[in-house]
Amino acid sequence: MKFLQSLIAQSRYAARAGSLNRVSGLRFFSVSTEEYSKRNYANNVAEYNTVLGSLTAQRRNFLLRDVYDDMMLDGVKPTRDTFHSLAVGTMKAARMQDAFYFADQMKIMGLLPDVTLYNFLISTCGKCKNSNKAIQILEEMKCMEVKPNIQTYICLLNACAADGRIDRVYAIVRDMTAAGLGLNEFCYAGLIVAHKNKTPLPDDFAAKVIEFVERSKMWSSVETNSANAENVMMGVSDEELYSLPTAEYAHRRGGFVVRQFTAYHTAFHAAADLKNVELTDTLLEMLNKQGKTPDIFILMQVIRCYCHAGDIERGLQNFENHLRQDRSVPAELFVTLAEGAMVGYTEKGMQMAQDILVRMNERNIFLNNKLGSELLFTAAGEKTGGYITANYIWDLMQARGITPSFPAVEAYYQGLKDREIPEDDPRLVLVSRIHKNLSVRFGNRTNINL
Amino acid sequence: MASQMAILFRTRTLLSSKPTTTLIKTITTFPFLSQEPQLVDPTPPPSSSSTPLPPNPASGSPLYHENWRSPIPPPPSSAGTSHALSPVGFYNRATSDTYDPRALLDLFGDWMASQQWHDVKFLFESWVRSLDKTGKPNKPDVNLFNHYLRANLMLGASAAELLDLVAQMAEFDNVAPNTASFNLVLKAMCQAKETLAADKLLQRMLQSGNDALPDDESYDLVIGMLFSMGQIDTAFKYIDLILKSGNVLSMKVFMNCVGSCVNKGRLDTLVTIIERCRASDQNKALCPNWDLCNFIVEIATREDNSKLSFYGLEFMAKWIVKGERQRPPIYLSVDEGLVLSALLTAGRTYNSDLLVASWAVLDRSLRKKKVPNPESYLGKIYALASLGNLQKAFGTLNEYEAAYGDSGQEAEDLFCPFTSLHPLVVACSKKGFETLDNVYFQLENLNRAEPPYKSVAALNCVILGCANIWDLDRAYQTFESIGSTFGLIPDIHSYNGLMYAFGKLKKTHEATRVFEHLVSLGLKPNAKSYSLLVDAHLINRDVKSALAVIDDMRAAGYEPSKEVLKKVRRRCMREMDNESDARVQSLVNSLNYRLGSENRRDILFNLNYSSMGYA
Repeated sequence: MKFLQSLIAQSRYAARAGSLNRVSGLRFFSVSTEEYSKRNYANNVAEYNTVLGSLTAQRRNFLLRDVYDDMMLDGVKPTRDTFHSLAVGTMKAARMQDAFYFADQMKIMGLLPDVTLYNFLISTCGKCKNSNKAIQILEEMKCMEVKPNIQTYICLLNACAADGRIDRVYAIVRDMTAAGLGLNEFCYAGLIVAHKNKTPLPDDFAAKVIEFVERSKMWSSVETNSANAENVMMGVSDEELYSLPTAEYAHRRGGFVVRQFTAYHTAFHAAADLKNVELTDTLLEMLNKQGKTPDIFILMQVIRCYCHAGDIERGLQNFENHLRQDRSVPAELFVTLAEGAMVGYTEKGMQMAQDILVRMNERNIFLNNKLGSELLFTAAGEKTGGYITANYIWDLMQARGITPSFPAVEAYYQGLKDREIPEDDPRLVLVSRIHKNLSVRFGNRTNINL
Repeated sequence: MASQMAILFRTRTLLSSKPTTTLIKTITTFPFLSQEPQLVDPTPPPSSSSTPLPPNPASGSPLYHENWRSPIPPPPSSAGTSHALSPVGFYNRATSDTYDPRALLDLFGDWMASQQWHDVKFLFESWVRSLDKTGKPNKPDVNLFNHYLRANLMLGASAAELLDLVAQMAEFDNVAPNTASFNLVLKAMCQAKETLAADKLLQRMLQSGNDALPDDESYDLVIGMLFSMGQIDTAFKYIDLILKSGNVLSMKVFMNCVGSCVNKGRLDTLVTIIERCRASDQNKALCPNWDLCNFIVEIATREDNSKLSFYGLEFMAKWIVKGERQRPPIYLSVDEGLVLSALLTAGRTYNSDLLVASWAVLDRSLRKKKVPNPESYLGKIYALASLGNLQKAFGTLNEYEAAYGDSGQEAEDLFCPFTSLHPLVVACSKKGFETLDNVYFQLENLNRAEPPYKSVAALNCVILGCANIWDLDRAYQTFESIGSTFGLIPDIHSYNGLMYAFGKLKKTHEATRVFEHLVSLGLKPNAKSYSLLVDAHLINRDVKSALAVIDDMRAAGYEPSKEVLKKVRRRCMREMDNESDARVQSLVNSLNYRLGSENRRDILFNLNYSSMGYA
């Protein structure tokens, strides 16, 4: 590489001097071929479809619009598959403006959206908590003579549930019944979410949740299966489509998320968000009565509920019980307990968090960028105390060469500066440099003229 | 009757004689008052003793005589004249009270008009402690008691005190409070703004018998207070009760309800209430005032609530009709911008009823004296296009052309398929070439009809629709048919559409020739023409030609838009053409544009795509 760089420098000098023009030209061309192919990363619709799918898989959905613009710049005609990939990407990233832009482009090109694409749009509205727009899409489907299927109703139900609109949720349940459709576990999950999001919280919330969890097992097995082959092949899970709290973990293996517990997942998640310990205990009791063992997600929510309600000891106890069963222990479980222990930033809690992380490290379980950044951001919120836990998290990540996200680094950096340590402290110097680098890349939001 | 008149005469005589002997009257009044308690004391014993045995009333009469004797000693000690007057006055007063509860009602009526609240209160309290002619205590009915409550209310009694008085009604036999009684208490609560107490009282009224059920006034009082105190959920509950029980909702409450719903954003609730009012005979005439109607439509269109927009416009239509019917007539008009908002809401929510209502209201407002603005026509076209009603959309386009077709060069954007008529273009392409062919054949049929319908703007929509679906052949055929089949002359938008169709398919040379052709015909290219030509060159990866077109564009007096320059810069980046990139940058600086950073997009150059794996 150094040889090539020096050759390029010489060729530039030679070009200005006016000699060796042909040789430098040849060299330059051979170098630019690779760069040129990088800059023209796709040339036809099949390659562009591959790029779009890859971006979604890499979770870089913010680049979808840029790829589409490049597509138009190249005069490549999008196909229906292209727009489906775009819709899936915008749905997963909850980018509502992009989603509707692509839908409009689809109509301009004479491609009538089908029911699957409308389902993605409704799901996007649900993720953005805009039930009005979701209802409007249903009106559009009626006008376009696109017949809703069961997925449409469930997406719509969950979109209204995310907005806390119980009246609309029950209206959709009536429409489903009128259409001859039954309620599956995703509908009951939506009902639980609707009651949780309603403001003010209903007085009978806990009773309702328990009732819905019970009811979710009572429908007959001949109900229509809402699985869709196209969604499965495009990597869209039902949890993602319906915006359930388990969407993030649906692809995990090893019993992380047990599908038959869908209503339980939503119920436990709601109880944890509302810090309702009684509801959590009742739900656990129901599970035990049926001889079922909670999965990892449920265990995470249980620990989170106890810790956020101020009962760290009980959270730790649940964690220890799980360890004794000799089952797989993912990093998320350790992180959940550590994060819960830090609630309130008590001295005892911070110490417990650090101990948990030490044990995690001893088991050769390590933090990834996401978990580590979240933990560091939380630990950096400690105003008083020795900052030991935050330092330990930072060291854990540095040992594996992981750079935390910019918000986490900024919070950690501010915490260090607030403490009385010398300016030339090696840790402060290192954090300062990393903070500056990340700030240049992410922190500055003003436009730069090239 | 004659005896009553005689008594009245005596009373008048007494009253007339009072002024002449004021001092004496005062002296006489005092012992008169002192005698009353003595009379009240023996009242219970006679009633209690009379119950077991009939002879006891006879014994009651002697007791009465004894009472009669007891005041005798004091009068003899005073002047003889006062002695003579005192028994006469006492007798008359007792007689009048005893004889006429109805007369008492009449007297109260007179005093009500004169607002002599103290007198009403005093007399009532005295009267209930007096004896009637049969020797029993006076018993008021509910009407008399309501007068008493009214007097207390006007004298500033609190709601609690009034409730105590209502409770005292139970002490009298067969006297129960009715709706009017409770309404008087509610008025006191309204003055004191005690919403909780009023709520409970209304609940109590609902649980009582038929005589005490809430009426229209009861609900009005409570709901008005709830709205003023901002407790709109409870207010809605009672409005629900009103509509369910068939009571009449007052205009004041309705206006309060409308105002609260709109201000709080409870548009769905307002729609429900309006619908139920319309469904009941008692309330279907309810209509907010003109200003509130405007406010309703404004908020409803902002929130895309088509039902509420429809009802708001319907209310406005009622006011317009009512105004026109008056003598002299009052001409109300809806703001055209508001109608345009309603049209766009109709398009976004696919509500044809709202579309029809909006246009009807606009038509009525303009009164044939002015044609609607171009924006209104475009709004209607948009709504019809989104509803999929292409036939009516083109009909509206025809009206639009009749109104503004001869505007000339200055308003060429009015019929531009890229901007103004874009919704119509999208509707024509709804199902691809299938819909476009249908539209084209319909236009052909209309061309041969009587009278013939010829429209370059409509055909331009078809051409651009074909270009949008990447169908160059159809676009070209439609373009050719403008002259050959329809006998019309293509305009600049026709040529722009054709250039667009060629450019998308990388037929840059043909696009350039179309451009040269239209210039040779004397047509003046617009900014869109140059932009389309630049795009054609960019699609062909020819940056230098694109920059040359931009230079021509500036020479012709147009400025390239930021979007165009961004695209050129992006193409320079991807083609690694640094020289052209520098030229673009200097152009950007001269135009004082800020194009922003390309950092995010450049990430695409360094990612690893799974297609590489396959390769």
